[in-house]
Amino acid sequence: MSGQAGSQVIAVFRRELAVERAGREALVTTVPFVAAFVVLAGLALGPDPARLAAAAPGTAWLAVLVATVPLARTVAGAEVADDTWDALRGLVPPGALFAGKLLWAWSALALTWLLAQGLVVVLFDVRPAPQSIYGGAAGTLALAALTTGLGVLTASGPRRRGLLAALVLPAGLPALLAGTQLAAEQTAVLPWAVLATLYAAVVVTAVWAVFPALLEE
Amino acid sequence: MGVLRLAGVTRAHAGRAVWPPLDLALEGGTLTVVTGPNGSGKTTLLRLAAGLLRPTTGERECTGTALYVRGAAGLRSAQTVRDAVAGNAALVGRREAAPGALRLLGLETLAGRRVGTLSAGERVRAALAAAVACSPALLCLDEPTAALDDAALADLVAVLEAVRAAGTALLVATHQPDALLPVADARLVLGEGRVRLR
Repeated sequence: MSGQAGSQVIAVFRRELAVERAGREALVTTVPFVAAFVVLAGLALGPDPARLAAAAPGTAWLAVLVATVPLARTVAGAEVADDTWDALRGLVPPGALFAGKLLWAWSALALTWLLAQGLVVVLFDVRPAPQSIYGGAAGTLALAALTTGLGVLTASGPRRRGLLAALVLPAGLPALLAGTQLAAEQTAVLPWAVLATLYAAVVVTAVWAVFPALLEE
Repeated sequence: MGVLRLAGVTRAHAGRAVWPPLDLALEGGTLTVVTGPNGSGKTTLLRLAAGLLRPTTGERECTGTALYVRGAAGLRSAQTVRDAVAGNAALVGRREAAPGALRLLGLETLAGRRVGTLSAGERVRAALAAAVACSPALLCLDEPTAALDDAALADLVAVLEAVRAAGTALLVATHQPDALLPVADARLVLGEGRVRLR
């Protein structure tokens, strides 16, 4: 990546942070949602510690996966709503735009994962396995790439936006499975770590490859 | 210096060409006004010139950054004018140009206001400030005059002349060309299946 492209990636990422600092859209949609999801899941599962411990990894990852849907709106849908998408596309080449948006979505999803993990640790009284950190990093990277690609694909038009959940949730299943298994105490680590890694690599590469086409009208 | 060259370009919607094959060459430091009735393809032409649309036939060549701005658009509504303009300028490595652009557009007193709270005319000026700060080779403005009163329109003309003097090629679509035509280098008229360059 050239120096100019690198600085444009950072500029896109910083712009996303500045917009979030000003509007707090991702914060106000994600944090209450994840908190409510984990608390309600705990109440639904009941007070049995064994049941809570078994369900904790899946609960945290399911909260993260479902939270990708509103987060995807901040990638391009909010730009379209503000009529800023054209300017952004004109100023930044597709590769740098993808990387900057990906970096933003990854940061947001990683923080979401940390929040969900923290909540299940406190409320479900469980201790996550050390390898869950790797699952969190790889899984949220894959979901961030999905969020970025599908966020752009579905940004124009309410019918497309309606498809977002139907596209993101099934496509994120490998991240849900690998992340959940890597967070569980007694799991064979290697196969799930390989799945998380391969899935992240495939999704990031695929979305990067099709991103210029997604930007075309 | 040549900034934009369109050679025999068309763009089809639903299988129908919006205009006949169009040749257009824009030099840096020129102002071209695009006029024509609704549906004549002004927006399509500007978006194509800016690289947002691919021509159905023909070729487009552009040297440097091309920026398309519709009306008062281009800035995130949650941000302050200062941050939004600086953020856009930073995308092309020109963050330091933002204060000067705000001054040029007379926006110093509004710099701390959120973009979403500005009036339509103020938003046009803010959008122009962001475009000026980015210093694109080609700036395509789509109906920048729609929300402006007479005084603001005169200010807009002065700003466009300053942008042109800095070497930017301007392509401006408008339904109110009277204020712009006296200072324009060319006028492109779309409509009735014809394209005329005056």
